[in-house]
Amino acid sequence: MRQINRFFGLLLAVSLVGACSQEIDRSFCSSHASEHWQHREQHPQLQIEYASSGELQVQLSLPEERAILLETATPGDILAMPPQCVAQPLQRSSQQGLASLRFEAACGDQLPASLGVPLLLEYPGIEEVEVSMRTPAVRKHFIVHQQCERALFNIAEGTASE
Amino acid sequence: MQWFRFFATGQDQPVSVDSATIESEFRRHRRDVIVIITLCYGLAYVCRLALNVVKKPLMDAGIFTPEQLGIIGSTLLYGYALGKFSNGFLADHAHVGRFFAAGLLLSACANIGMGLSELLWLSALLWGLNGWFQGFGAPASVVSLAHWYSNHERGRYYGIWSTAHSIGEGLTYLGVAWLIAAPPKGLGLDWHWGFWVPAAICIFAAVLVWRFLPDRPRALGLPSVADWRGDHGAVASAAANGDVWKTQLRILAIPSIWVLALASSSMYVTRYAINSWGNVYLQEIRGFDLFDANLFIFLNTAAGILGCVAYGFASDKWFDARRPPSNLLFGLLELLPLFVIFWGPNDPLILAAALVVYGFGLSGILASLGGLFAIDIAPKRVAGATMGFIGIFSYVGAGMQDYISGRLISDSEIALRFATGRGETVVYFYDYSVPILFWVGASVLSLVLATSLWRVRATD
Repeated sequence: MRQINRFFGLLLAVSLVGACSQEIDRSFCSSHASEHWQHREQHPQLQIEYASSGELQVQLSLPEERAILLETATPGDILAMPPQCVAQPLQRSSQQGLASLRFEAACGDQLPASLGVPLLLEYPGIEEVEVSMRTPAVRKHFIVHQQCERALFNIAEGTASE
Repeated sequence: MQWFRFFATGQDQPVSVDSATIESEFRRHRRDVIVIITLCYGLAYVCRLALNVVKKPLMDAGIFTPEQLGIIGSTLLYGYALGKFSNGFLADHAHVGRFFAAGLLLSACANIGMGLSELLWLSALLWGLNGWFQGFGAPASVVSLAHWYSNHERGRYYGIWSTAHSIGEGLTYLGVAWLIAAPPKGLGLDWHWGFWVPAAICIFAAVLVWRFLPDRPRALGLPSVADWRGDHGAVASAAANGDVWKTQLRILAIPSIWVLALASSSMYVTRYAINSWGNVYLQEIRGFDLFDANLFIFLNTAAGILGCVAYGFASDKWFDARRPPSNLLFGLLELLPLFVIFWGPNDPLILAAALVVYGFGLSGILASLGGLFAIDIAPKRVAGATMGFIGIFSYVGAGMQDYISGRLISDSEIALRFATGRGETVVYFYDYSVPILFWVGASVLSLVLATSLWRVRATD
């Protein structure tokens, strides 16, 4: 009987610890969108233009010191596309400490219904990425963070001088 | 069968001879009836509309696709159509307090289950059953009104009870949205709470109904309300006439009734498209947050109260009780704002104004297509059957709309998948252009059908 009690006590403790750590995670994820502007320049920003003609324009901007991580990257490391999409070579440029990696891709008549962004998995040094994607119907702006299950929307538009 | 007897209305009791007791009992029960059916039917709505508010969080979490949400949403409308039909018959034989309370309790259970289910078949089953349970409320309320208010006062009390729709929609589109919306506008609770809190509200409502909604006056030892008020109808009730069944069947041979049923069904497509998908559209495409999007939808339902009243006034006073000119007027008031809502500027004030005008026009024309005009055309003694026939058409149209809209939205899906150390985060992009054409097209069709009845006159 005592062992059963101990087991349930342990289970309760583990549940509480689990619940509390989830609570910390939730609290960070629920507030981060409004605080992200404070460190926006330190993290990668991904812009995707998805045209109805099946053409994609992709640009990844990130601080130069982080761009070292992507020195040998290919378009597929930034955006995983279906086989029918043909990507142009990656173009790199740098300005005021900000590196920019750009490429275009053409997917023909068969518009891709799914695109992948492997950055966060392949480069664990990247904790979060701010994404802006425009389709013919809608533009969405959000953050994907390693610690958060879901994308974070409603990003506050503050500035560093605020 | 013990439980069946439990829900049955009581036997007629000998009428009390003490007139003071009769007077005080009638006053107490009549006060309870109108307060309880209005409040609790309004509260019941929260359990009916909860899914509409949490659709976007469910889509964002990748739990259900729009097509799956369309399937789930449509089962409620089919269940409700069936419930309105079957429960109407049952309510006539029931202790309405127990009957309505059971419906609320079962609806609460379905909502609790919905908060736990991430399986399509289970959610569709629960939501379909919820539709049927939700169908307990209206017949029980109407039967209560019939038993406790006499012919010459029932219209007023029916009007008071009708405000329950707006109370319920307001509570859902503002209250439930407040629970789920991100801070600072809301509490930022998980989508599950969007079902569980409504369930708690419905349990509370069930307790109130159980405690305060009485059985028929005769079952309580009181005279009928007609005797008490001295307000007897001039015509014998339809049920007493053996030809009612034949007359009911005759409505199927009236072409205008079929046209009206199709017009109502098409208008229900737009009505439920805006109610079910409108807030998702406003969040997905127009970029409003969950709370603001639901606030916009609330505005259209609130304007609906005025629309109903204005339609009756306009058709009686301006068009000499001819419904077709009012149908055209209110149909245009419903249709034109849709162009602003879907293709107009993103200005919140303009959008709010468009939704108010839309809600005003919609309620007016719906009051006609599913009620006033239908009763004008049909033989008066089978008005109930006519309403039932048009009601079934309308809700089947609404149900089909939910699935078709979900399917069309799903077909446009573009998924952006982020592989992370925790698994996968997916952001979906949808295009509403085709569903919007379907929704606006349904309104155009409804208006054309309703206007085609321009020369149809009321029958006796």
